[in-house]
Amino acid sequence: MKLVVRLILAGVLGAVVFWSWGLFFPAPQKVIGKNLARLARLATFSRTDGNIKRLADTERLGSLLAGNVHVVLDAPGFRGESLDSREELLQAVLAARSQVKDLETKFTDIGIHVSPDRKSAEAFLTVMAKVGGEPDPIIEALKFTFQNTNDDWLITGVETEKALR
Amino acid sequence: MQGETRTAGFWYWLRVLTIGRRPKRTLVRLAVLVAASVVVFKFVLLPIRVMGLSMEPSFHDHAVNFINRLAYISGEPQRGDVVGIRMSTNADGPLQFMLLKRVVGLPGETISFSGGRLLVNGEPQEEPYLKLHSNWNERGRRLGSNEYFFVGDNRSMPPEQHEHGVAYRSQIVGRVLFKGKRNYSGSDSAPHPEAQRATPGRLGEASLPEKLREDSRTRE
Repeated sequence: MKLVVRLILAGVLGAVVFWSWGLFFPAPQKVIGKNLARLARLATFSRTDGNIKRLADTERLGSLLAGNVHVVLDAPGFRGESLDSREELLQAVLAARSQVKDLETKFTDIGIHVSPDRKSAEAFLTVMAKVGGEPDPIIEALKFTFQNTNDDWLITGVETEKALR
Repeated sequence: MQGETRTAGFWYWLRVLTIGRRPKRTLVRLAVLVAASVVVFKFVLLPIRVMGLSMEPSFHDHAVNFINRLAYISGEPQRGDVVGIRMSTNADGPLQFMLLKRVVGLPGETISFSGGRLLVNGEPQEEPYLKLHSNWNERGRRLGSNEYFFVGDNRSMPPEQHEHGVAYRSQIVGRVLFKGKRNYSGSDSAPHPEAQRATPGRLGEASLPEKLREDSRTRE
């Protein structure tokens, strides 16, 4: 009986250590996944949001981006447009927020590939954006590139990916 | 006496109807049914809902269908097959969105369009599923050993608004289960009233129904 109790305790202890390890030293895929979820949350807004919340969300969004982030969008309404810095991107986000009343953004079908040296990573995903007033959502495949900076993964690039070439 | 009261009682029959005479057996059956449904609808038959007009008139906007993921286990995609295509070439995660297109070009072939007609290696092809007038002209594209050419059935819209082109074999998820409206040669070939009103960027995409979309979100 004592052996069984000891085995159960050892199992519980092992599970706690495993869980704590993941909590304090998360895998890059987990950190990147969380950053992407946060990005989708911050890119979502509604007409009821006040100006302060919009500004705060935009600033928080900026904390996920590298200073030299490069964005190339080839999607409806963004034919080959490119942005070359965090400031440029944040200005575009603020402009979009003033023009569009509601936007709901979701990232799905996410695949994350970390380089062997763990200094960079790529995330492939599908974005679904529901613009207020539009009957159908915009659906595009995107490729994100990340760089590991001071134990955080910052977005260095975003580009649309064509399913059919 | 007590047994008679029970058998005649409303609650007894309600219980029999809902959980059966042997609740344990019902529970096991329910567990097997749930497990089988999860396996079938996640790994074998993916439920989809068509969004967009690029597959009109064969597949209407908002139509529900299934993608058979086992269709190409024993064979390769053939010309004319309608298939689900992964949006990303590199994503390997769960699948929530895909393109719904028809295979018109096989590996090694050269595909072009002239006056709205599909040419394979320069030879015009019969496409009985096409019902809308097209005037597409596109130069020939030679496919690699692992590449297929895909296009929707609604070529009445300008080619730049209709997502079509080449994808790798690995992007093909499976073949559509129900082959769409059978109006290839009959009198019921009138185009869908909205067929001409194409919306750029949302052509022939297919997604899981709302219910399963919720489930996928939870899984993430």
